[in-house]
This record gives sequence, C-alpha cells and structure tokens, in this order.
Amino acid sequence: MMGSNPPEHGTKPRSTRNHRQQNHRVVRKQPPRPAVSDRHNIYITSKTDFKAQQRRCEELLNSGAREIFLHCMGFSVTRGLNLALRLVHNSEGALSYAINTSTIQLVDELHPLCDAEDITFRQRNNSALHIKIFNRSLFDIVVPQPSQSQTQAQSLGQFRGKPKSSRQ
Amino acid sequence: MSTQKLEYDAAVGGRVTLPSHVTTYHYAAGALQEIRNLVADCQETTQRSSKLIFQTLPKHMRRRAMSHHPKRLPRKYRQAHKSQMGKGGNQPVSSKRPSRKYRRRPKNLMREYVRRQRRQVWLETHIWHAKRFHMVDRWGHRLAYASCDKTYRACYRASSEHCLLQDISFYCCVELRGSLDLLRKGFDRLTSPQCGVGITARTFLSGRREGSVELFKDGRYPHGGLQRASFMWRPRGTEEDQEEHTLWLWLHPSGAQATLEELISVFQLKSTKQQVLPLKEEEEEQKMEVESEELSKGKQENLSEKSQGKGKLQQENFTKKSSQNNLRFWTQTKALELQPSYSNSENTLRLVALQREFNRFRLTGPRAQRVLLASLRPYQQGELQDQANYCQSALQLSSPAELLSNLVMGHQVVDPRLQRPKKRTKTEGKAPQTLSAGDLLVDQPKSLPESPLWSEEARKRLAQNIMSTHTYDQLRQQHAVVPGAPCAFEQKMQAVPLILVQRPGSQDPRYKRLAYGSGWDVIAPAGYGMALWLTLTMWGARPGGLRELDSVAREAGAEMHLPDTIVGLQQAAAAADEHRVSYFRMPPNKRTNYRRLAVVSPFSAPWKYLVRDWRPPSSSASGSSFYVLRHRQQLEEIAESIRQRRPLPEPLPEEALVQIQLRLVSRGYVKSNALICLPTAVDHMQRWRQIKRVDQAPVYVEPLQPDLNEQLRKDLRQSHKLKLKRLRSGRVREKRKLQETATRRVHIRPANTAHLVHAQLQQMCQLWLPTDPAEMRDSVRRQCSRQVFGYVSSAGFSFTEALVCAVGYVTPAGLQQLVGELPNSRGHQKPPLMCLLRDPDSRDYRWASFQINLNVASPAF
Repeated sequence: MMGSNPPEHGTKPRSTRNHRQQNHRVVRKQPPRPAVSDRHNIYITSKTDFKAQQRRCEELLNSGAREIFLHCMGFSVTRGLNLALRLVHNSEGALSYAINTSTIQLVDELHPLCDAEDITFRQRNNSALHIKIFNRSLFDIVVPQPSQSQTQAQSLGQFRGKPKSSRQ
Repeated sequence: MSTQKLEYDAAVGGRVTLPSHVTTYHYAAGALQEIRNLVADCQETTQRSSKLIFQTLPKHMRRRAMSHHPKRLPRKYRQAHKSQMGKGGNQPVSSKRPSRKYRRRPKNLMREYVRRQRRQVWLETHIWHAKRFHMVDRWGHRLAYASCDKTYRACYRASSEHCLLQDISFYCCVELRGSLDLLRKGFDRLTSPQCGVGITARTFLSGRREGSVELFKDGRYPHGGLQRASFMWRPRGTEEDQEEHTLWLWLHPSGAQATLEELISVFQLKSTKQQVLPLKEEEEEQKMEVESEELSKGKQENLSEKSQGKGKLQQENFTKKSSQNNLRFWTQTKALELQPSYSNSENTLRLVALQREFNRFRLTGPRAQRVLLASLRPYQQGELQDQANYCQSALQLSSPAELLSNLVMGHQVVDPRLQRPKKRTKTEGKAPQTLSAGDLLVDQPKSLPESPLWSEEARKRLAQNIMSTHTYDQLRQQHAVVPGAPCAFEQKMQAVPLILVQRPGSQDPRYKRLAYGSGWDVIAPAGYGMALWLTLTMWGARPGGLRELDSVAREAGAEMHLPDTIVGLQQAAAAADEHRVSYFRMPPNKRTNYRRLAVVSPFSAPWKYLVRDWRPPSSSASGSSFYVLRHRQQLEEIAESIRQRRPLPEPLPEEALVQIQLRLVSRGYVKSNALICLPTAVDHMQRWRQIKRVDQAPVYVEPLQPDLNEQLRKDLRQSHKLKLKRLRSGRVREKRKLQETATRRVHIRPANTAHLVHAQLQQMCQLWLPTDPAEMRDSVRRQCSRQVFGYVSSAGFSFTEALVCAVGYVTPAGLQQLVGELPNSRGHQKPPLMCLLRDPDSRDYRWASFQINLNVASPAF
C-alpha cells in the first residue's frame, strides 16, 4: 500500500511473534508519545509518502532552519535512514548528519478473549533513531552533543528567536 | 295586517300597530307553514345534516360572507364550522399569525416549545443546535444532522488533530439491578460467547472499563441481531457486600424498544405501573380515613391527594376478606411514569429505563484532553481526592489513547459555567507531568470509577439544587464588582459529578493510523447539558452532528450499525426510499438506466438474495435469511487461510456475510451499494499490461446491455397520452351536446383521471427499474459479466488514507472462489489479494485491495 514508494528492505513488523498467545488475547498497542512536537522535529511513519516527507524536510531547510531532527522507530528506521541519506546526497555537501540511537519503552494491552481473565499488560522495547540534519557551514560548526535531549533543548532555544534567513 | 309592513323587532322598527282581529285561516296557514319548516329542519339536522352550520342559523342571525369568515358566526358554532370547512378542502380565511412580540413572550414561547416537543423529543442542547444545524427527525428525536456551515473537512481535522464534540444524549440508558447469577443467565440467552467477551467478564465487572456486546433475540444467535449495546457496571465499594449488582446498558433509540421487550421477556419482568399490594394494618386505617374524607369532600380531596402522592392515583380494592385477619389488597396505578420500571415476580431483579436522566457528549481527537482539562476543575471539598488527582494527571497526557482502553473515570467538578474563557479560544499550553504515562496506564486508584451519578437520590438532589442560568446571572449582577472576577457565592454552587469514558480509537496500525478516533465520552446529569456544552465549545471543541458519527466511523474503517441489526435494516430501508424518490424526481433523460448497466438492485444491497445465490445447490436450507459473521475464531481462520492463499476451512457458513475493509488501488470512486465482483483470469492479465504501460484506465468496462423495456415505455407513454386525449375529447363532445339544448352556459365535466395517471406512473416506474431479484435465482450473482459476491455498505473518500475506502460484506463462498482463482505466484511473492469494485452508476470495474475485519463485534471507535 505504499503507492509510489520504493520497496524497502529491512526490519519487517513481527506480527506473528507469539502465535499461541495471540489466539487467546487481542493486542492493543499504545501510540508512542512524541517527545517534542515542533516543526523541526519530524516523526517518520512508514505510511506517509516518501516524496512528501522529503519535500517537507527540504522546504524546512530551505526556509532557514539550521537543523532538523528526524525521529524514526522500528519498521520506519530504514525509511528514516534512506530519507536522511537522500537529503544529504541531494544537498551537494551543504548538509551533514549525526545519529543517536535510543530504546523506547512501549506498553501493550493484552485483551482477553474469555470471560474469566482480566486485562494484562506487556512491556516491550523498540529501537529508535534520532537523526539530526544540519547545515555544514564553515562559520558556525555545531558539535553534536552526546545526549539527545540536551541537544534538542539547546537547538530549540536557539531557534525560537532568530531563524536564519539564507542558506549557503 | 297585510297592508302594513312590520319590522322583525319592535325596538328597532319603531311603532307597531297590532291588528284588532286575525283571520283564523290566515293564522292557521302561517302556523302550518312554520311547523312544516320546523319539522324539515329537525329532520335535516338529525338525519342527513347536509346543511352547513351557518345555513342552519335563523335568518336574522345570518351575515354576509359568513362561510368565509368564522368570526361572523356566534362563538359556539365557530369550532364546528371550522372543522366542516376544513373537511371540504376550502379553509376559512387563515387567522393572521400573531405578532412576533406576542409569540416571543416567555409564556407563549414555552407553550410553543412544549407543543413542538410532543411528537419528537428534544435534547437539552436542542435550541442551541437548531440555530446552527440542519435538524432531522430520527428515532423519535429531533437531532442535529450537520452544521449549516461547510464543515465536513473541518470536522475531520477536528477529529484527527483537534477536538470534535457531538451530543449523543439520544442513546437511552437502561438500569438493571439484580444478582449476578440471574443477570448472567439472562444475558447468556441474549448474547453469544463466540462474539467476544460477555457482559459479565471479569475485566468489566469491577466497573473499571466500559464494554460493548452484540445483543440477539432470545436464543436465535447468529440470526436475529438486535443491536450493539455498550454497558458499564456499578463499581462495588468495600462496605457494601450485598448480592445486588447494578448495570447500565446504553441502547440505540432505534432498536431500544425491541431490545427492552426482549429483556422483559427473558428476565420475565412485569411493569410496575399497576401493582397489587397487600394492605397493612396501619396503612389500612389511613386509607379508610382518606376514603371517608373522600366521601365527604368529594373531588376536591381527590385532587389534593393526587398532588400529595405525586401523580399516583390510588384506588382501593377489597378483594378478600377473611373472618380473622382481614387480608386486603389494593391496586396501585401510576398515572404517569417518567421512568418506566419493571420487576420480576420475586422482586429480585429490577429494570428501570432512565429516560432523559443523562447527557452524553462525545469528544473525539487528541486535543479532547486539553479541552476537558480546561473546562473541568476538580471540586476541592470532595472526599475522592485520589480520583481527582488521577483525573487531572490523566487529562494532562497528550492523547486520550495513552490510557487504558474504555477506562471509566468518575470526576467531581465545579459547575462548568465557572470555567469559561472570556472569548472562544483554543486551549494552549502544556502542564508539567506528575506521573508517567506507563504508570497511569497500568494502575488506577480503586475509587476511580465511583460516582454519585449511580444513586437515584443523588441524582434527584442534584436536579433540585441546580442553579438556573437566570439566577446565576442575576447573582453575578449583584455581587460581581469587577466584570469577570470570581464571586463568593460561586464557591457554594454544588459540585457536578461526571463520568468520563475513554474510547481507544482504531487499533490496527497496519490498516489505519493508530488511535484515530480516540477520545472521551462525558456523561453528565440532566440539567447540566447546556452549561457543559457551552463551556466545551468555548474552549475550542468543534461541534458536529449525526453526519460526523458516520464519517468518523468510516474513517476508522468500521460501521456504526451492522446490516442485520434492527438499526441497520431500518437505515437501509430509509436510504433506499430516499434514493428511489430522488431517482424518479429526475427527468427521464437524466436518469441512469440501470437495465442497460446490468445493475439489479441500485438503491439497496440485496443481502438475502446474495446469500441465496451463493448457497451451494446441494444444500437443503431454503430460508431467505442472512447474518453478519461475528464468530471471532471462524473469522480468524478465514483471514489466516486467505493470507496464506489456501482454500477456506470447511464447512463454510452458508448464510453468513463477512465484513471486509476495501480500498481502491488507484483511481475511481464508489458510493454505497457498489458491487464487489470476482476478477477473471483476463482481468489479472490486463492488470499486468496496465502496470507496464502506466495505464490508469478501468480494468474492464461492462458492455451496455440492451434495454428491452425501452420500446415498451415509449408505447405505454404514447398510449397513455392518447387515452387521456380521447377521454377529453369525449367530455368536450358531451359538453357541446348539452350546450345545444341548454339556455345557460355549460361547463366541461371535470376530468377525474387521477387514478389513471397514478397507475401509469406505477407501471412506468416498474418499467424503469430492473426486475426484482426475488423472482429469479442467480439474478444477483450473475447480474453482470463478472460474478458479484458482495456489496459495499458505506464508502467515501478517506482523509486518513488519501484514498477511497469502503466497508463491505461478502459471502464466504465467494471468497473461496476468489482465492482459488488467483493467478500463480511470480517468484516468491504471493499474488496480491484484490477484487473488483463497480459503482452502481458506472460501468467501470476498478481494482480494490481488501482485508477481513476481525473486530466486527467490538469496533474500536
């Protein structure tokens, strides 16, 4: 159902992991919480059209944003990487990237299918990727911080006041 | 005497001279004539009464143009005169509409409102809606359909990004009290464990979550679907260890009456409207007194007693009188029951229909959190402190879907009128989190679902102590020094108990966006509807109507009402009528000729005949019934075997329909009642060819069928016109003949051909539409060049998918054939699972991919 998107190879969603358990229970997933909801933080989904995502990022960068963050989780990690590489490749050396990995804790509800049991929960982890794409300008080199949250906070603080008008 | 002209009235006419003598035969002749007239008048008025009222009046009371203007009649005849004139079809002059000033006087306005509510029930927010929405009559209510503004897309945006608000107070709440065993046994007959968890499942019994069940007629599962009902159990405190459990069922008003009747018959309940009660000693004395007073004072006493007993008319019946202990019974009859109640013979189980006792508002969308947080401030003096804390931190999360699905929260808040912003604003800002989302999801305080709304006394007290908006405004006028500043008296306004019910939204991330359609249902006590509604809209919730209920369901890939339930059947019949009427309202050259398009049933989906045509010829069953497959295990098996492209597990359920979710692959548009067809090998070949050429044309175009009725219609029309012409010329001839002999001018006879024209219209309609599918076997399955194995029941462009999506029902035998006829796989990839869709108004077949919906019985939205 990806429309015009290229086929992706990589992690597939593991739908039939616990086959026996699934017959007794219905899994309900919770949507992951967005860390920061901001124009510069883009959450990659595997459903959105790839071209549309690329255009969105390019427009953001062209409009003067110094750096943007791509967050992707699970199945969409490959797509996020593809997108980041495409952006960097298309920019002819003006952009560069830095990657942080993290693990996100998710809680699933397991709904019973028989009357005698109650609802239970399942903790699981999912791997996530946070890609920072930034302008590699000669004059302001931003050193990627080790901790993701700090970087985000800093970058937000910087950008709220003065968006850069031109791109080199 | 004969020479003198006399006036009727001596007082008017001046001097009257009386003759000195009267001739007897003159007098007798006059008297005789009078008597004759009198007798004739009597006979006419009693026997034939062909005279109109004003014709029966004596001559001196008649006035000019009396028939035209009823005010010229004496007052006692006016009503009869009006009704007589009304029957004849010629209305007397319509009385002028009273002036607006008169109509808007509070008393007259209220009287008008009461009159208009007699036929259709109004919700509490009716007047607000009536000013802004298109109102429709549905299910005995007058409901808001859609906003007068163009808000279709805005409502979608609200439901996906912001907050959509709908009033669904028309759902009727039924309270059942009784022992758990009794309830379980009863509901075992009305539900089936195959559809999912039952009503007495452990997960619901604590009152922590709201559930929903599919109800069927007693023991007729899988046929006889009644409706889907959501329910919640009363949370049981630690102190009360009694056996009694209380259950609220929320029924859709369309099927509510049938469901109530089924409940009454299953639990063997009887109405408590009329009860025979044994009379106790002391009561008896009182009764005797009342009776004696009644005898002495008569009707007056009766009236006062009525007012004392709150509309209960009490009558005494002495049925038995033994010699020792005089055992007596009296029959208690309630004249008016606001909330009809029923109980069984041992009084161990009671059912009360809580009509108009609650308001239920539905908030959809992630921002529902913010809207609720802004408009609900917890009441500080309450003893349920941890409940309030939990509610506050739960509402601070970014989406309602992060909480336990179908969570029930009781919440005591201050009066919502105090929480309004000065202007209509969007709620902004994010409060710091106190508890993490995981903690909130996994454990809730024990007292969370408790609410005073469950007890009848509390509800009564609440209703009595509501401060009316008028009083509130007046108090503010007096006390508020600074406009907008809080006042001291506002502290003393009573707390409002609410129940918040979470809705989890869509749960299939591979098909729809996770948690689309999640939100809250707010249950508020009666009387607070308008106050709460205004506060919610002031905080930026977008109001929607009935149209949005359907569109949100369609976006979530589900259906509100399955086609085999009472509601579904009613809706389909109403929609078919509407389509038919609008079809024949068009001129003939604008009508789609369904005979040429080879569409058998353009206005409704013929489920019965579809099932009949797909039944294997060997089977003996010949009943024309169908049902929607809700058996979870069977559905899972079918879905699994289709996923692996294997034949379906035998035996196939013959009369079942399987719900599928369809999406058009590229272009095209379908509406409801579109045909779901089986592709042939040629179509699969054509698909590859088109992919190669990037060709977006339809995969196959149905050839036009010859319409055998076309000539018939033309001939019929010609002959009908000729017939009318001939009749007219006959009448003209007749008139001419009469004119020759008559002295006065003769008018032509009225035509009286209405019945002819009507019959012609009927016949024409029949010739326009295709033949009824009931008449011939295989008329549905093989109606066109591709085999039809299902129908679409609701379809439209889905904004979440940016595609045309549809929900349809197919027969399992058709699915079997589809899987069997799939082309051989190329390489290691499985052939894609697709079917053909065709709109009833079009000849184009388009590809649509589909998947089986497993959550038929308990949809997510």
